[in-house]
Amino acid sequence: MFSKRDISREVESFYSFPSALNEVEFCAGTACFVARENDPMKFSMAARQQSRTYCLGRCYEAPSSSEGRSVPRIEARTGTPIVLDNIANGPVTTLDMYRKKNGFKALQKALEMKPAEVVDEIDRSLLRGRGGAGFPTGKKWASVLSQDSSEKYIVVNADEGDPGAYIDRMIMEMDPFKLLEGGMIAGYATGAKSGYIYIRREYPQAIESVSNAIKEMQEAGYLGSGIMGSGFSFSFRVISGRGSYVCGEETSLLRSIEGKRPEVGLRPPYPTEKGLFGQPTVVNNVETLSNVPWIINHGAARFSEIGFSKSRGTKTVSLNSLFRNPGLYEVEMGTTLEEIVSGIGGGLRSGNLKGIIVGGPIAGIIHPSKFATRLGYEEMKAAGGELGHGGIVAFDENTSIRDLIAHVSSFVAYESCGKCTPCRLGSRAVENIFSGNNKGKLWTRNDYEILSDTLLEASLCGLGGGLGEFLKSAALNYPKEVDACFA
Amino acid sequence: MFRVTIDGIEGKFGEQETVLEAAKHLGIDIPTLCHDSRLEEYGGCRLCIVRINGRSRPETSCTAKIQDGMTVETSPDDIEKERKTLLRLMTRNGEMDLRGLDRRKEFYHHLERYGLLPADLPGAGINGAKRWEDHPFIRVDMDKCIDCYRCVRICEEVQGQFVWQRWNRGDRVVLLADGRESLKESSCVSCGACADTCPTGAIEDLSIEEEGYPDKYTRSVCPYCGTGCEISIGTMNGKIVEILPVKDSPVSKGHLCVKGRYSFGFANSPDRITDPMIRINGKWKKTSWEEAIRVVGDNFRNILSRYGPDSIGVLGSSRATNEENYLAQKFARIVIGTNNVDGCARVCHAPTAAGMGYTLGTGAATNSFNDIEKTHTMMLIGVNPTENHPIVGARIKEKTLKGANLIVIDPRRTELASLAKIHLQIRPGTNIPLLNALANVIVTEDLVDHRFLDERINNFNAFRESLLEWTPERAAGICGVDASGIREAARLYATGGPAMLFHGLGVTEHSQGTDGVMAVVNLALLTGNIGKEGSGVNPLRGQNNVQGSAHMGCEPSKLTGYVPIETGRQKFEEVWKRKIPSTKGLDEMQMIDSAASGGLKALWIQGWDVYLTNPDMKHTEKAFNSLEFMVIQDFFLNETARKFGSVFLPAVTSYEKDGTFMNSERRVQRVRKAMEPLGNSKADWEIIDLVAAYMGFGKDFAFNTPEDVWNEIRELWDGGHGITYQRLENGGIQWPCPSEDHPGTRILHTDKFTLGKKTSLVEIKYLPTSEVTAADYPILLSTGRSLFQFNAATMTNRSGNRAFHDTDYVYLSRNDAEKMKLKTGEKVKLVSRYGEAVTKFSVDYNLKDGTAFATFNDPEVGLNQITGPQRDAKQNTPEYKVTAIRIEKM
Repeated sequence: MFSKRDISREVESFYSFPSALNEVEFCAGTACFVARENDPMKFSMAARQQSRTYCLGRCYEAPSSSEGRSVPRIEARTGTPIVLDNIANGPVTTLDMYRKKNGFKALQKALEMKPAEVVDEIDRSLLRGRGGAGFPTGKKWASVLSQDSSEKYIVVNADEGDPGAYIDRMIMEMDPFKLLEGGMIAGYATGAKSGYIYIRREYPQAIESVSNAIKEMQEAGYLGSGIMGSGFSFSFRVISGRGSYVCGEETSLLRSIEGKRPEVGLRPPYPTEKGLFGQPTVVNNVETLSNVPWIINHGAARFSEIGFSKSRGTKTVSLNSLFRNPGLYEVEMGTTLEEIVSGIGGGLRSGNLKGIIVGGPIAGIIHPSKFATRLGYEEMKAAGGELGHGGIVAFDENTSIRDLIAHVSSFVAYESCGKCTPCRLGSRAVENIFSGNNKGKLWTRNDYEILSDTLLEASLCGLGGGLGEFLKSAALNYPKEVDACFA
Repeated sequence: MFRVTIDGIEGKFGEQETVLEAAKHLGIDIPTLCHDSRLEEYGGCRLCIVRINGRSRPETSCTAKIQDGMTVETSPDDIEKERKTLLRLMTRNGEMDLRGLDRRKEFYHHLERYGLLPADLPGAGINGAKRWEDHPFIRVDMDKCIDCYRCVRICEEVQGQFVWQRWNRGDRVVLLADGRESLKESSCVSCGACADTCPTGAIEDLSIEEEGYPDKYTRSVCPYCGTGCEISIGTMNGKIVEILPVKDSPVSKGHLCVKGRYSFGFANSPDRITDPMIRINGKWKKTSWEEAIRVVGDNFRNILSRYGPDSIGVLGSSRATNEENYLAQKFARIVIGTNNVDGCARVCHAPTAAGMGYTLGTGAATNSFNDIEKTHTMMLIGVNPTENHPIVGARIKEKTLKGANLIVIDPRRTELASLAKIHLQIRPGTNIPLLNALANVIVTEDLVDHRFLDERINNFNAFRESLLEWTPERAAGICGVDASGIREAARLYATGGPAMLFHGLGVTEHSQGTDGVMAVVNLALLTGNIGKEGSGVNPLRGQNNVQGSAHMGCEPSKLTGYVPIETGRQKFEEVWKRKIPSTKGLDEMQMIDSAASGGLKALWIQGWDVYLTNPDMKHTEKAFNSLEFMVIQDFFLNETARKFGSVFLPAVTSYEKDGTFMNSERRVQRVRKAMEPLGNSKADWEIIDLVAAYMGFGKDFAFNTPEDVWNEIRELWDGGHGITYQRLENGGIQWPCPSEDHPGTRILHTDKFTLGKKTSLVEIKYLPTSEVTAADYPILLSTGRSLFQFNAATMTNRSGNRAFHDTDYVYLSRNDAEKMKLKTGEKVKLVSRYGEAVTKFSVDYNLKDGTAFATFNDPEVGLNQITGPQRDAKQNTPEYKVTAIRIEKM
């Protein structure tokens, strides 16, 4: 009489693009926004889309659309390239090519070690998560290894949603085997037998490239059971996103894979204890796992010698189209922002640099006065920003702080999952203030401070919290422009 | 224990507590909106953020667990500002129409506390844009929604119904019922949990909007099924305006169903009879209590003198309190001097009391509803809890959704059957072969609990031999199910333990009803699933006090405490200072038979529409027409009264009196008066006292309060001796409870059975019912209740429930419907060997061909015109579950 219905339509309604791809999509991301004057017509198409596309990962040619295929400039600007070592010399898209580049040597080596030894190697390398949070990868793996459970999972967070970043996209498109090898080592080290790669729908070529790589590996026996003559079995599944920024947050991502409404969940329990389908789960981002084969091949000690402070190894950064030299660069941790912006990026093509947004707009703006800051998790925080994914979006005088805040808060309001009040309603209130809808000036300059605090302190996840940071840094660095919005 | 300092006050708290809970213990009030202790932790609204020493950012106190040595500041200035900002955002900076916010609820209180309410806020909400008004009990006004999703979560986590859904994301979320803007048209079961939990009034009881807030709440027990949910009765000027669940009830845990929550309108129904009436020349005439009592007393005396005491019968009510049932049987036994006293358990669970009593020594549930949380496997036999015991049903459903094994044996694919791992869809009337075959698999595959059998069972080997003939293949042919399904079910039940058995009228209302119960008990004994947590044999009783009425002695062969007369005679005669009659009493079915053949001359029926609900109405009619005198005590002029009554004594509903009920899990619960008796109506206990006094037994019935009666019951009933009214203040006590310092008993038979250390398995021979199909009567019909209507619908029909279930329906399989060219909604005639009835028809896609189900709720349909004379061989309980019929197009 009362039967349980299929709830998938309800869950689907959460996403921007529950079904197939639009023929041509126009990007509304931050890099395209700050470059809108370069092609106003093109950018205006983004606003006309029924559902917004937040970041196609083509920030180097912003404002951008999904038309055609393009590749940015890619360079290893470090003596010991780890992540871009292959890609800097061109794509590695077949198993043969990858094998010729010492592919699967690390996996083979790892399979001869005990899982705990592999975890220890990663732990001693001091590798930290490249998705932004900077959690020590070895500690995460150790936690999953220690869980007594017959089912464990490796989940690759390939939902690189921060507008301005296209690091993971290029890794997946051009060096997918390295990522997969890293994921398999994670699986062996923690006792997981299956991996899920959650790739955002905005990266169709990455989905294709990773899927092809998996297929090739299956056919060649690199996936399945008894891999490389060992007792190790592993499989991968590619899951395509459906258009939701918040799915890059790990609890939300896991719920999305499970087919549930991808609302942000509470932590603890952490995914390492109760993750995918309630089982212990490693969630690592693409760049993080792409470091793993190198560490196994060259040893933890060599890796930890690179970099500085608590940030070891290299970081790949992506520069937007306003730079003279937009593109993807691998630099050593500890490189100054000045060196990246002026040295590598060559400064702006035209106009005056007003500030940079590092690691996506959901973080503080870095004012040029802080460019002596060295690239590192703690150092970037101290400068009022975040290392984040490593996407760097420079903006110039064509972008007023009023418009930038309206853009960023609109992005947050659009992408908010809606679970927590500050993010769901606070972002919209800020958007209304800065887009000229502050009816009766009900919200005052003082309210702006309290709204920023509320977003920063009361939000459930980094989306609302990051907007709070962004708003506070805007007021700190550009006080006159912010004040003027309430005059 | 952890030592925690909150706002400068130090306290020690349990290690699993949240900061919010700890603060509450200290009397510190942290504002919350999305939090409800019935739900899983959520942390969405963020209002309850607090500063915890050493943490970089504030955390939500509803999710943060305390740690030893923790120091918390709940409301520093900056947090207070942020809270106010959150509330401002929720009101959309003042754009929300604040009229019609529920002034009793959190959101209104917080707005008041943070100075966000306009001074001149008018009362009722009339915002029209986002209102849904089609539901008879629940009004929705989404303008007042603050997206805490408590409605969505309670619908999922407590009711397991998944009606409320969140569509879209962010601030574009809309809440929809099954994807639509209508609760009435959705799969909503009207449990009202969403309206209860909603912190703003966006989902509100319609009665509150129409009549305003109650000025008083009274904690009591639901007047419907035997679950024993606790209710909080909200009254205004002595009238019920609203009923809410009791959050700390051990039985219902803050949940109710449509009946307990919304079906209270009958209490103030305009057709309540509130003056005594006497029938003169065929017509009812209002009279005084003095006159009515005089007529009753004089007629009883007259019949006593002419025909003797055994010509009179008294029927107690499963809807009356324990105290009233006690008085009814005391009246029969000492005032009239007969054991002709019975209750409605006769037509439902008498076989359970007898069958379980025979094998185990106690005829009541061995375990408790809270055991559902501890069990791993549940087997439901002939019971449909999501409709008939909805709160138990919801708990079983939640447990199943969380991964417990569920096996359902039922001719219908009930809601729980559709969620079950195994559903054995048996042919009505074939329980015994199936239960024997399950036992056969358990013994032949050696799935028994040997240790338990060694320690607690006398006759395993002999019993084992007797079962060998009952192979699954043999049973499969009789029952119409696969042998492999029987095997799987037996294995899952025997090895997936601890396993609970639940049974209902699908076991008892058969010609082998008592045998069926004993066959069920056999399964539990073979597998050792008894006497421990999460196991046992658990009958779900149909009416709120059906366990209590028989237990109080409304049973011809038993005295209070379900004690056989001869066992209890000495003690009772000492306490009562009266002789108990020695003649064998008649049960209710025998009274009907006796009346029809001229033996019984007078009947006093309390709270029971016998004519409508007994099977074979022609036979009942003949019996009642033969009586010389019939007293009806009820709050409506029911069908029995209308057609046959001599005197009508107006009783009150359980909302209008004090007393106790006993639920399905042996829990004695306090019933409290929430409103004054309507007009001149009186509680049953007072009426019985008055009649007894008139007949010269004033001293024996000198009770001023129900508590006085209860204290006499305690004196006579050892198992209830420790249960005082004082101890019943919160949630009730489960008997046995022999002394006032005894905590009560959650699980029976833990190390010995009530009847001794060991018991015997009972060999059950299969004796097929004589009610069989024939060319003229090709379909086997079972009757039962529905979610929205209760029994004869005396109460539910007067409470707005016709909106959901307008009349009786007969359900047939699609094939049978197509063969007869029947369309859902059309009227059909049901014809049996005993009579005819006209109902509406509906297809049930999951019924097997050749079987039918019908409700018996509508007095105008009178479905019992077609049910027959077959009865349980041991307890005389009618075989409502098997009637051969044909269906004719109208």
